[in-house]
Amino acid sequence: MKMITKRGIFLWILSALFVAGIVFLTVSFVTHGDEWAMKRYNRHLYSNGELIGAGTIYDVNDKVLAETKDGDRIYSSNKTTRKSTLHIVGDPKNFISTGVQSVFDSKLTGYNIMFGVYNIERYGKGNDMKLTIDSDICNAAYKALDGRKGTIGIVNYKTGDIVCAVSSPSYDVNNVPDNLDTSEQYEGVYINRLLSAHYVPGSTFKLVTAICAIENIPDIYERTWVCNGAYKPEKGVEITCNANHGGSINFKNALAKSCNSAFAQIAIELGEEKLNATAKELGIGSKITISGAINSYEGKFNVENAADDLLGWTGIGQGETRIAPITMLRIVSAIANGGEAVSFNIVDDFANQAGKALNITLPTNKVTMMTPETASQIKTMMRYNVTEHYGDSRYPGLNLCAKSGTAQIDSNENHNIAWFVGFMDDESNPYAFVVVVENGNSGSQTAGPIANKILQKLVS
Amino acid sequence: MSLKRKKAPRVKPINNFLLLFVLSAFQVITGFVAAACGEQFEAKAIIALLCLVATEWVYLLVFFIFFHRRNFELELIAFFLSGVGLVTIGSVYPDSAFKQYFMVLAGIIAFTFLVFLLGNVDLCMKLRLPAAAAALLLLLVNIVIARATNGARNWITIGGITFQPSELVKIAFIFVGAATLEKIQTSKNIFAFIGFSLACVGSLIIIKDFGTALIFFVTFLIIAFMNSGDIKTIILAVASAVMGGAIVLKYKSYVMRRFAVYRHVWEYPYDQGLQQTRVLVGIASGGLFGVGIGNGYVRYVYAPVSDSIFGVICEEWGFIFGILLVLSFVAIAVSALVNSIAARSTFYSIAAVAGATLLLFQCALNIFGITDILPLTGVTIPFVSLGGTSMISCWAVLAFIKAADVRTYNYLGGAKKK
Repeated sequence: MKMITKRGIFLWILSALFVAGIVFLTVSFVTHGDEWAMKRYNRHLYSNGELIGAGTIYDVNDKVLAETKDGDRIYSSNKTTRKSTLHIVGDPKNFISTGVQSVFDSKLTGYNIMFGVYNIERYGKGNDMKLTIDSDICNAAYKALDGRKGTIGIVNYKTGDIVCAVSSPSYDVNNVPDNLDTSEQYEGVYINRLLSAHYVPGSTFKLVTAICAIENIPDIYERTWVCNGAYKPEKGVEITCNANHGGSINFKNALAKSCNSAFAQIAIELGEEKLNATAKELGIGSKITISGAINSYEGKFNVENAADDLLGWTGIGQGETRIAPITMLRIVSAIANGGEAVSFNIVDDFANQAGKALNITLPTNKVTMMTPETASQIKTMMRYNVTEHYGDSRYPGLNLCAKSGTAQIDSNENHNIAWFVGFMDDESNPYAFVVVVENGNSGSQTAGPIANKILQKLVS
Repeated sequence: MSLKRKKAPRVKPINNFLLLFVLSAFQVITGFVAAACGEQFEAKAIIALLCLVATEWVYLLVFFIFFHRRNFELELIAFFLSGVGLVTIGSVYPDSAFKQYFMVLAGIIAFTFLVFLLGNVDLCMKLRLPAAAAALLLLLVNIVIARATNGARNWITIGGITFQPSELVKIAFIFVGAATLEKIQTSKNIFAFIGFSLACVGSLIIIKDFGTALIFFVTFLIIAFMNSGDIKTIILAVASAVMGGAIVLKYKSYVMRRFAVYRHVWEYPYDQGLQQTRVLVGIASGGLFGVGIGNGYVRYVYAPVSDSIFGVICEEWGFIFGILLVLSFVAIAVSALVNSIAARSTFYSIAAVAGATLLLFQCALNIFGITDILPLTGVTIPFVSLGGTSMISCWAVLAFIKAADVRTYNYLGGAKKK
């Protein structure tokens, strides 16, 4: 009998294994429960792929951008708002992976493992989220782009709050075009170009080269360069300039007139190591994370073992460099903010179904991109660009500091990418901006007026 | 057999009436919620529940008053499990509620009958050969006339009644195993049992009921281990290995297909991983306390009251409740182990441990299979899932554990003396 009793050990072991299995299941549930709940086939939270379990999304002025009513996801009542905020809010099918509905899906539903989806069922919606964007500004920006592909981003460079983030092409979620997935007109419609486009930076990159020069060439302001409409490095092909700037163009004017010859020579003089170091410091090659969750394209910058001509091309923003517009926005924000880049943010406030504010911890780290002296010098030059070259009268009352860019992607001028980046040097309106228009032949001529239009609306 | 009279283990008496009262209240409340969860009130669900509650009280009163029994822990656990199953089934398929109730009733009758039968060890010994023969015949019939359903040919329909022979064979398997090895531990007996086991597992392999074959195999291992531990054990182990190998080889493609999805269910959410992913999503959605009976979505997935019933319960009743429910099987196992220590003979000890193993293992295969912790085998949760033959067999298996409890027959004996 005793033997038999002892041999019950097998069942004891089986019972222990059973309990171990339960523990394993519980641990999996606690650690992965939110992942499981957010599956698209969870009918508590999704209906036909739409995140109906999410709460209301408001803009900074409490205008509704998206909400759930009676089990349906409803977007803004304003058609332009639906289009201009599409890439920030997200589309019904969650194809736009950088939209808040996609990135903050779990937070928007208010899911937690303790109560599961119970509160969502009870209130018929999830947590409410207030964004920092202003839909009126977004609408103005969307209209200013006038159907052209491109993007406009505006950020408060002191707080990091994104006020405007528009990407075009866009579409109306209430009236989805039939040719959305086939037409060239809607190419890249699911991409937020501000965050995810791989653009050639063009002459806006001269800001990077200039910062590197200020930091590394002590007598840069005393120097002059020769420009005969082109510069031929010792090795490699000729680098053409947009104009013949004559025998002695100085540093300030080289930036204001965007002289390729001068900047190619500066870049070659600086060399790959120094250019690389500055580009890295300015965040080119590393992704930007908005509100701790939305990631941008990190960019591509590589001058390793570059020949002289490639180094020159890189220095003027042609080369193989690719960046997302937000990267440039962050660089000019840092310039405006005395060299310090604050974290970008799009979430203003969060509240649960009952309206109680929820604590969200957003990273508020600051990154020093350059010394305050460098920032001040480059700022002076960017201001000089406007007063001496772009024309301050075209940007009345903005105290604008800017740099344009016209990136060539092939030999057809009509394919150029028009850039205009900068900021207002104004304590009461601390905004930095980036405007990019595809197939826009000149930065200052195409993108500049768009920037003016929106900034005027912003300050008024 | 020792002649020393064994004393019943001294345990603090539990008020069975109070326990059953609490259980009844729980069942009536949940039954009412289940009946009211749909668009219209389903009287069938609550009436079936009330029938179950009435049956429970009749059972308790009859055995308390007329048979002087005081041990009702096992029955209470089984009532609890059956009740939760009945409520869930009533909430998903109100039309199946009565059928399920009658199966619970049939199970309780089978249980009662078997407990009396097991009281007479001599009769049991005489019955082991007929039981083995009947089991083999059932499996043979199954192989011959089984028709294909859901990939496993384990259903037979005779005269309009559908039943699963392999479920009844479970009872015979434990009965024969325990009785054969208890008698005299001769090589002949052991080989006879190995032969019988091979026949059972082999038949199940032929009808492609992989899950049940595995349950039989593990039960066989337990029974084998409960037997003497010399050279014979090694022979048994070798036989086990051969059987295990045979199962794997026979089912190579079948097993491989299971393993392809196993631990990768999220990659196949619309085909082979559908059940598991929906159950896990349901568990997550329910949270610790559930979304309430009738408010879940696992109930709309394939096999909501058999394979996936654990998901339905976790989603609607809460994860904590789901865990407590399945821990009942651990309680049954511990009860069997405690009972086996003081049991009147090795027959009872082996049968109780084997029976508890079978129930616990089957539950494990279900809940860990459906949550992707083990490969999915498609077996049901004992007592809880929808089923006719399986409900009867679960109660019958419980009788083996009940029989090992010395209190079961002590009071009976005491009553007779008066």
